[in-house]
Amino acid sequence: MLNEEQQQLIERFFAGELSAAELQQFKELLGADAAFKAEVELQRTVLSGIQKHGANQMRDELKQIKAEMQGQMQQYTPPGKGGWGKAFKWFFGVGSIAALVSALLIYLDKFPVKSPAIENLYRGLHSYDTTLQQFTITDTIYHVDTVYHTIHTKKVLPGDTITTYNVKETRRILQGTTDTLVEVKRDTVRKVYRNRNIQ
Amino acid sequence: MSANLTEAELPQMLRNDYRAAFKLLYRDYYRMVEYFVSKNSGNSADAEDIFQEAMIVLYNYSRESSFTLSCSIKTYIYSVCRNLWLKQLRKRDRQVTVKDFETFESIGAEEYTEDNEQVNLVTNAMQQLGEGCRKILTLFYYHKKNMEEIAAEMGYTNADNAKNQKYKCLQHLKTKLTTTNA
Repeated sequence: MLNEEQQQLIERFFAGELSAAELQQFKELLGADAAFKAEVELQRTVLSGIQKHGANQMRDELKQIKAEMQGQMQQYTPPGKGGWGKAFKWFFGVGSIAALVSALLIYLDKFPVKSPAIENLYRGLHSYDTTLQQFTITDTIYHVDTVYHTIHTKKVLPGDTITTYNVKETRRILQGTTDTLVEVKRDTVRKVYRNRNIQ
Repeated sequence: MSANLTEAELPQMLRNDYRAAFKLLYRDYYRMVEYFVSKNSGNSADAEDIFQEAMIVLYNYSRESSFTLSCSIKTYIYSVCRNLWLKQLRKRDRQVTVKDFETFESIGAEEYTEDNEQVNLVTNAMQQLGEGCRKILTLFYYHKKNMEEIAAEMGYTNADNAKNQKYKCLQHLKTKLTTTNA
């Protein structure tokens, strides 16, 4: 049975705390004292076992953390794979926005709210293509924007401008009117433009 | 949840609140590792294991007071996972190479613990200890907490009290081990 001083020496050895002189003392004991050497080996094994126990506990915690974070993990796109992948995601991003917009339109149709703001909003919701049209807002309206899967309302003021991409839809919406066009986009509204360019 | 973790913040966060740090790392980098493993002959279970081991490697390094990141967190995690997965693949085929999708560095990813019969006896003996002893030994030797921190976490009167308790628990563990071996 080792004395407390020898036990402490072994403990401090594994903690990397021995001075040069103490390390020398340690090596001498290791060579000369079989009981000391056996205790050192036992300590080494015990510390390895505690490390393994700790790591096993950590693995259990990490499993829980992974399960908890499953819905929040950021998607990964490898570098240089933007092209079609981005187009694909944009398309489906737009598609999901269009679905939300459609749901909103159905809601508005079923539960009509009589106000110029909502009327303008309804007229403004449309689909996308690549043709750029510009309109200037003439009245204050309320605009529905989608950010990820949350719908916010945003007040759009006179003088604001907005970009729309669908000529056909724009013509249909603005036919016979001088109304503003409200753009529903993935992120915040840019500007709203008045119809000047549509024939 | 908070914004992206920076390289300067990560080591400290791992020391102070490793669960919060791991949550951010899973959020920001798990899919990258999952993609890498899936494109290199692995499946989702492999990716989960590799990422988990990388977190343990990272945590082990973080307990050294001198630990700092010499590259971005992304590069670090990618490099460690890459090394771990390559080691796995080379158990099956020594000549295997991997397809890479990110830059990487040569970062050691050695398993921290020995895996032999004696070590397994210790982990079994740990299960026979009371929860208090198991916890104090794990806090001190695995999580590298100091006695003040252990005293606070376990409700001991002071650091000396915690130190005495730790010593007793270690002796208790050794006794169980030598009794098992006898």
